[in-house]
Amino acid sequence: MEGLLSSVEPGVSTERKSHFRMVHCPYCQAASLMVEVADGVRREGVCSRCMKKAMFVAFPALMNSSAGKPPSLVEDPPAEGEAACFYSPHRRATKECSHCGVMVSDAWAAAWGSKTVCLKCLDHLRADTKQVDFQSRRVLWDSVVLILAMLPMTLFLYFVVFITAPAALILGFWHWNSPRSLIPRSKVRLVIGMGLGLLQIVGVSFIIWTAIT
Amino acid sequence: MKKAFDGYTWIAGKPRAGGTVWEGTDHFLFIENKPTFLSISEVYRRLDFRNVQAVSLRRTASRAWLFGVACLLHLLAAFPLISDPTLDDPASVAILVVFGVPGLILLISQIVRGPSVQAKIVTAVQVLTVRGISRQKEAEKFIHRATELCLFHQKDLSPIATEPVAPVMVTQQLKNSHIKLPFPGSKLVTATGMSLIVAGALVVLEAWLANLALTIVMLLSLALAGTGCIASLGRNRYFQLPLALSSSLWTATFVSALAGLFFYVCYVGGSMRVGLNTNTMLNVSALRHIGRNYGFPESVPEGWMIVALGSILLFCGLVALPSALGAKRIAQS
Repeated sequence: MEGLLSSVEPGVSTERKSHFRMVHCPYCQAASLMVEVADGVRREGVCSRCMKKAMFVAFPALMNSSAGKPPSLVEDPPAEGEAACFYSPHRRATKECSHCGVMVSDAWAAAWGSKTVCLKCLDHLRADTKQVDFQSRRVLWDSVVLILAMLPMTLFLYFVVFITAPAALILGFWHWNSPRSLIPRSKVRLVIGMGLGLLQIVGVSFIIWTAIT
Repeated sequence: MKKAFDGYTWIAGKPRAGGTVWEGTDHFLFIENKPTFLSISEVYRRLDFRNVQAVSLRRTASRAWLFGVACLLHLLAAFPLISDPTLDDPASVAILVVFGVPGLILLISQIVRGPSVQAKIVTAVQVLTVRGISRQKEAEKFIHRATELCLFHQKDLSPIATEPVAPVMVTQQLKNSHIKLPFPGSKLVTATGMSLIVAGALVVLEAWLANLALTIVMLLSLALAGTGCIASLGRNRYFQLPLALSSSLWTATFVSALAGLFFYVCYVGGSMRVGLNTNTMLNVSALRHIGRNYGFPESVPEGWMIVALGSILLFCGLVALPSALGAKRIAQS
């Protein structure tokens, strides 16, 4: 980085040079784009690898680490009589996991809403689909029901009505109380989907009954 | 869509565009989904304000592609006008409406929505694409708010540069300084220069050779060169173009439009001579008529007009191409 700075920034003071950092280029993803960390000022940087320009706003967090490396943690050993971190015994325990109850250091704790959990619990909780507060992914069953109900109404997929209409109705009842999108929304999709499913079942039944009689 | 829930406030994005960004107490919440009419799942990501190192913005080509689609629709809509300029046939009107109206809506929407961009958030260990933000106007709002939040939550971190910003080679202030940056060269301008040379040569050849294929290729290359000139001028409006390059591009835009008009008049004239009763989309006989009857030796004034237009285009291309290549070479060195 120093070599690159000295070659392209001849008129820049040493103090200002210390505010330059390399970041990942948004085009080629290589850590080869040099930007100046300034007070929220927008800058345009040219990637030294792909020669493309991108606009950047760099923040003070960039000063604490170089691109591609996480920020280094401050040494915090436990004093005499203080609790040590369950996962890193050479660190002082400062928090208690609200899920498993172990004492952990700041490095191993994560604030999640009003709760503080250790990173291991966070990993498990994020993978658990039943933990609504920790979910990293959610299936939107109301949209699924509506899609199933609308599928036979498309031009080429009318024949799937025998499967999709009952499926929409059953899934609608099954997931009536399941959490929907994280952004609050009503049950209108679910109701419309179930209504369409019901209408399709009634319609198909009527056609079959007419054909038989 | 609600703008606030459970302590989160909406900042940017739309679910149908691929995601939304929300502002929490000390973190961003990204809700990502498939950019479809009804997405069936959502993915949640949170990013602490303290960990954000930079926000980047880059231009994408999706707007150019959509402009291309709009142009194609307009081209399809214009076909009935060639064979039926007075639009007597209802089928011609139907084709004009079916292709022209969506093309026009697409064109206007793209102009109103502005340039297409991609915003990314950089932390020490990840580069996260902000989904749901695809236009510069939305991105500006997001960046403004993100800057406020990140600076507030990182105020206790290392000191930041306070020295006044001077233009330097690697980092330059963006267009808010209203200073035009030197033109760094562009593939589009280079391609436009080449297409101008080709189009100019074909137009000049048209004055002497009577060939249907040549006429069609000439008209297509003329359209391509004219579009390239407009796109080059538009895309590089924030750069200080060399005088020779900008004047040649402007001249070529005007001359290609003039040439297009001239050939259209010839075509209509040709259609009238061969008869307008055909219902074909493209009147091939009239096109053939341009090649045969509007050049040397049948029609000397029109022949000289064609030569003049072609020569100007050729000259503009010969000026624009070295300028574009030279600017790129200087920028790279």
